[in-house]
Formats: sequence, C-alpha cells, structure tokens
Amino acid sequence: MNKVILLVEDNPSDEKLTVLAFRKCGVSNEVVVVRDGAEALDYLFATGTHAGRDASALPRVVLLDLNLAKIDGLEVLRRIRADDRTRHLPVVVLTSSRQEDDVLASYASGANAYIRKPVEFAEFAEAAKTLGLFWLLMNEPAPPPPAAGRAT
Amino acid sequence: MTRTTKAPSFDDILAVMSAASRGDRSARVALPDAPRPDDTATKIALTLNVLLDDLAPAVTDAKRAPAERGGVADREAAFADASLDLSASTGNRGRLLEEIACRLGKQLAELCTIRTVTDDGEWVVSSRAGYPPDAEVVALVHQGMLAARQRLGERVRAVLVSRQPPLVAKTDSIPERFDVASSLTIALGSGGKVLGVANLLRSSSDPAEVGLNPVQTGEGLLVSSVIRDITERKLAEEQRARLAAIVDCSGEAIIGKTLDGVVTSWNLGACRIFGYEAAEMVGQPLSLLIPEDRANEETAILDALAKGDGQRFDTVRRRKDGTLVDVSVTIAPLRDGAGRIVGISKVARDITERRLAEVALARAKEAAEAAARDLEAFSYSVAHDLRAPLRATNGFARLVVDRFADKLDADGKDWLEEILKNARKMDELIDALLALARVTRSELKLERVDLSAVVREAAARRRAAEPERIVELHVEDNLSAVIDVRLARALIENLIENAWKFTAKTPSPRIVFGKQDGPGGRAFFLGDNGAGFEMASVSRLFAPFQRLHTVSEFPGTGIGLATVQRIVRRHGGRVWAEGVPDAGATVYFTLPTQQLVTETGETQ
Repeated sequence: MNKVILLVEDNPSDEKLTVLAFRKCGVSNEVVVVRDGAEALDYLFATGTHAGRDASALPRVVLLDLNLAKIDGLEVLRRIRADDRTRHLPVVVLTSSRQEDDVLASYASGANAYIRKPVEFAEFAEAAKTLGLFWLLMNEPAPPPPAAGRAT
Repeated sequence: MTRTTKAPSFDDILAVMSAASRGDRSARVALPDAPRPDDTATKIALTLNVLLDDLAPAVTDAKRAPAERGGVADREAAFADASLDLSASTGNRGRLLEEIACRLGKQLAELCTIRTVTDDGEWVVSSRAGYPPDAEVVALVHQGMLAARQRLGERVRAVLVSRQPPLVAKTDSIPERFDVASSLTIALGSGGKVLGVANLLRSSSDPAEVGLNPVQTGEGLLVSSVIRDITERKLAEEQRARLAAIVDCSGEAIIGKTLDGVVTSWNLGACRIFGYEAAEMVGQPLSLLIPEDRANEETAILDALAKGDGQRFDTVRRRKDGTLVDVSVTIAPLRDGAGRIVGISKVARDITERRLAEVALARAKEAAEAAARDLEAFSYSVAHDLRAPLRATNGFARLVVDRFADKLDADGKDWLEEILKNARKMDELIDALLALARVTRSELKLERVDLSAVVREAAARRRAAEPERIVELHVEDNLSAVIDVRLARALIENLIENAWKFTAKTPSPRIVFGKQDGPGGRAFFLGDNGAGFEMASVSRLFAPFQRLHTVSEFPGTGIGLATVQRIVRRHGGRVWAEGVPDAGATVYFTLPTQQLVTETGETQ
C-alpha cells in the first residue's frame, strides 16, 4: 500500500526538520516534497512536471503550509476539495501562523487538522510523531473514487 | 338724529366734521324736518350725514330707530331734488362743488376729487368736491353693505354702488398707487342720470382697501365698491417683504423659473454663486449655467417636474467667468391656488468646500486603510517569516545536542543551550509583538464583561502553570465593564502575569483586584506586594520593550504593560501605576465605555 506523505513546504530548513522529526520518532514513510502550491497540484493531479505519474496513487496525508509561492496554501486546499479525485484526501495544515484568521480559513476551506509548527524542536518532533501515528496508522482513509475512463 | 326747524350753518357742519375727523362717527348735522334743497349748507349737511352713515359700523345701523329710517327716506327724496337743482344751476355748479370738495377733503379725507361725465361720456376731473348720490344708489349702498359684511365680515367699512363701469377704471388703482388706505366713492347723479363721482381718499392708521365689483342687473351694469380693512393684507405684505429680504440675504442661490426653464427671479445668493446679476439672468434660459456635458440634465429635470416630482441632487454648473462650481440643488414645482404647476423653484448651494473636504477625507481614509493593510502584511510576515529561521536555529541546535552530545565538551553544550534559549526567547517576543499589533488592529466588539471573573480565570491559569507557588488572591465581586471581551482577557492576563511574576521572591505574595470611585469616574486596579518599582521610572513602565528589572531577576518581554496601555486607550481610558520598591505595584485603569452604557441603561 502506498503510504507516501506529501509535504508542501517552500522552506528547505523546515523541510529537513520535518523529515528529521518524522525519522526521529520512527515514521519511515516516503516523504515527497513539493516546493509551491502549483507543484503540489501538479503532483496530486499528475500534470505539469508530474505528468505521467499515476494520479490514482494518492498520498496518505498532505502536510500543507499556507504561505506558499505561486498558489497559496488555502487555494491549494480549495482545489483539492473541489476535485472528486481528492475530495476526501486528508490534508493537515502545518504552518507557522497561529492567527485565528488562518485557522478559521483553513477549516472553512476543508482542512482536516491544523498544526502550528512549534519553534522548539522537541515539541515539533512530538507533533510529528502524533501526526504520523494518527494519519498513517490509525486513520482509515476513504476508498478511492471510481476513476473515470478506467475499465471496470 | 337731532331735528330742528332751522337750516344748518357751516359752523354746524364744521363741528360734525371735526368730531368725525377725531374718530367720532356718531355725530350728525341737525337738519330741519323739511330741508330746503336749494340751501348750500343743507346740501353739504345731507352729503356729510350720508357719508357718516356709510362709515359708521353696522351696529349703529342696526340700533337706529325705525323713525330715523323714515328720515333716511326723506333725505333720499331731498337728494333727488338737490341733484336736479344742482344739474339745473350749471352756472354755480363749479364753485359749489369746489367748496364742498374743499371742506370734505379738509375735514373728512386727505384728498377729495370730483369727476364729472360730459354728454359724450368722457370723464373729467372737474373739481374737488362731493355730491349726494341718488336714492337708488343709496338703497344699493345699504344692500351692498349688508351683503359685503356677510361675505367679508366686520372689516367692511362701506359699500358704494355706481351705475357706470368707467368708475371701475377710474378708481381701481388709486388706493394702491397713492398708498391710500381707504376710499369712498359716491356717484353724483340727477333724475337717474349720472353726472359724476366724488372720491374721498384717506391714508389713516386703519388701513382699508377698495374692491370694485361689477354687478349685472335688470337695469344694466352696476358697480359696487367695497371698502375693506386691509390690516391683514398689510401684514402679509410686510411678511412677504421680510421673506424677500431673507431670500436676498441667503447664501444659497434661490431662483424661480418657468416650466420652460426661463429665469423669473434671481436672488443675491445666485449672483454670488454664479456671477450673473439678476438683470442679466431674468428672462434668460437657466440652461446657460449647464456645462455642455450635462446638457441633457435640464431636460430630465423639467420632465420630472412636469409630473410634479421635486428633486435633490449634486451636480456641476458653470459660472459667468466659465469656471465650474459644485452645487447641491433642490428643485420643486411652484403651484398656483388651484394646484396647477406654474413654475419651478430652484435652490442651489455651493458645495465646493464640502466636495474638497470629501476628497480630503477619502484620501485620508485610503491612506489609513493602506497603512492598516501594510501593518497587516507586516504582522503576517513577522508571524511566518521571522519564525521559520528561528525554528531552523532551534531545531538544528537541538539535533546537534541530541545526536552529538558525547562529542561536545561542557562549553559546547552550554553554548548550544544559549542558542536554544535565545531562539525560544525570540519566539516569545514575536508572540508578544503580534498580540500588541492585534490590540491596535482588531475591531472592538463592546459588551459587558465581568472583570472579576476574568481575573479569577487568569489567576487560575497561572496557578495551573505554577502549582508550586502559593499566591493569596483577593478579588472584589461583580466588577464589570463594557469592553471587548478578547481584549479584556488580554488586559487582565498581562496584569496577572506581571503581578504573579513580580511576587515570585516575596514571602507572602498577595494580589488584589478592586475598584476606586473618584470624581473622574471609576478606576479598576490590580495591585501586588511584589518587587514594585521606583516612581522616578514610571514613565518607562508602559513603553514597549522597556524593562525596569533585568531579565535575570524577572523574565519577560517588556511588552505586557505596553499591551495593557493600548487596550485601555483603545477603549478611551487611562492607565497609570503606583509603585514602591520591594513593597509592591498597583496598576490603575479606567474604561469610560462604562458610562456610555450606564447612560443608555443597556449593554449592547
């Protein structure tokens, strides 16, 4: 079973820390990193630089930063929710912001969870552990939608 | 009326005239039972008595004895004879009329004119004199008087009837033109033939007016003249004059125009605003003022007005010098007594200054909004972009400590801990800065908040965070204020945190929350018995990043009280503090929004 984590993160330091936090707590799933909102959508829908990828192979969870280049995180989230293929894909907003506006807008746009990246690495590692445990092991993902054009 | 056998003398007549001119209208010249019509004094006396009868109030008329009414009939007969004699004695007529006119004019009126009609119907002013009317005319006078009183009320002083329409033309405009208050017109005739008319005019203090009404009867056209008190009309005229003065003094342009848009009146305000004099504009189309690009505006206005709709709008008009002026215009239809639209009134106000103020206000608002957007963007940037490097600094330092602990000596570990500690510190500063920015930015939602409860909740959170500390808490019950609830929590949280922190080294720490009512209104206070401060440095207390204690003594960001001050000021309140070193500090604050609600009696 594909247990890829899609990390949408434009900051290389944060990317490294996130991967290190997962490794530290024993989450060894493949982490696919995309750098901006447009690439995140390309990956999910197998378009652009990710054309040719099997679009039906969805990640187990998307970790989405809000402050992204090209297409911002909230818009990425809305497009994920607007598409039948990704409507039920678990998306966890993982961001520096603790502003109420951002939290509200994230939930309004269909986020499954909202996690603020703690500055303290120990806390961050703890958050990553909980997150991995829940979304990768405990959570039962939605069955894949009947893909159009595929023979049954 | 007194009767005598003797013919009246001129002295008798003069005495009655004097009395009448003093306002006594009841005196009459005594006449013999059988007056001799050929006697000049008798003729004048008869005329005078009739005049006085006509001028007397109705009540006198009604009270007059029936016998005296018979006397009126006698006199009427005498008038007829006198007329006949007079018309026959053409030789003396001019002199006689002049004498009568002189005396009547001098005593009873200010001006007495006699007009006679020539055989070919021309009216000429022949003399200043009076002559008694014929019996028929006298009867009509009395009828007319009664009818006029019924129609016009007590203001009617006399009614006179003549047979000839030319009378209307001759007398119609006299009272107006010469500022004459009252006029008495008496037809002079003989044997049914009108010879002329006597006109008595006065400008007394009791104004009257003459109305002339042609009445078609079986005998031909009769003209009745009604003498009416015009006090009310005079008052109305004065009022109209006052209104006209107000219209002229007005700073607004007040313009009358016809339904076709032709100017009929133009006040001084219109001169000032548009630069045209009244003489230049009256008779001209008002469209002269309309700039080319608004040419269709006038058509739309006229169309709407034709339907009876008034309008108010702001527009632009062109002055005489070609410059444009912003005006606020109110347009209304003018109606006649029957409700028909007969013209248009237009009131225009120069709103150039208002326009400029509006533009300035809009610019200021735009600038303020831009500043707010900048601040928003700045806060967001602080929240995200400043934290990311911090997270990397902290994260990688922590990873080094975790993974390479065995390869580091004591100094290396200590220095890495410094890095970690400072990263955490900066994280706190960012949080505090964001909180401060939020206090300034967020919209106030005022409601009544139980501050006592908020204090207890904040203290409970501190206790939960530091269960090992025992702090005595005294909170006065039911102290509420009208305040934004989120900011109230931030305000109290900051104060409690300070009090908690600065009593950390006090043996029996104590925190008190209460109120103090003074002439300036209610102040709330939160005091402690902690480290306190020197009053000399109180001015630095509320400034951001200013600290009165070293971080090693008491940790903190130096933003707490700055936040408190901003919250209080945003609610229009005042904040101040009192402190004694090593004895404690008390922070006072007022929330005037309190009164706002007490006055209206209800919270929002």
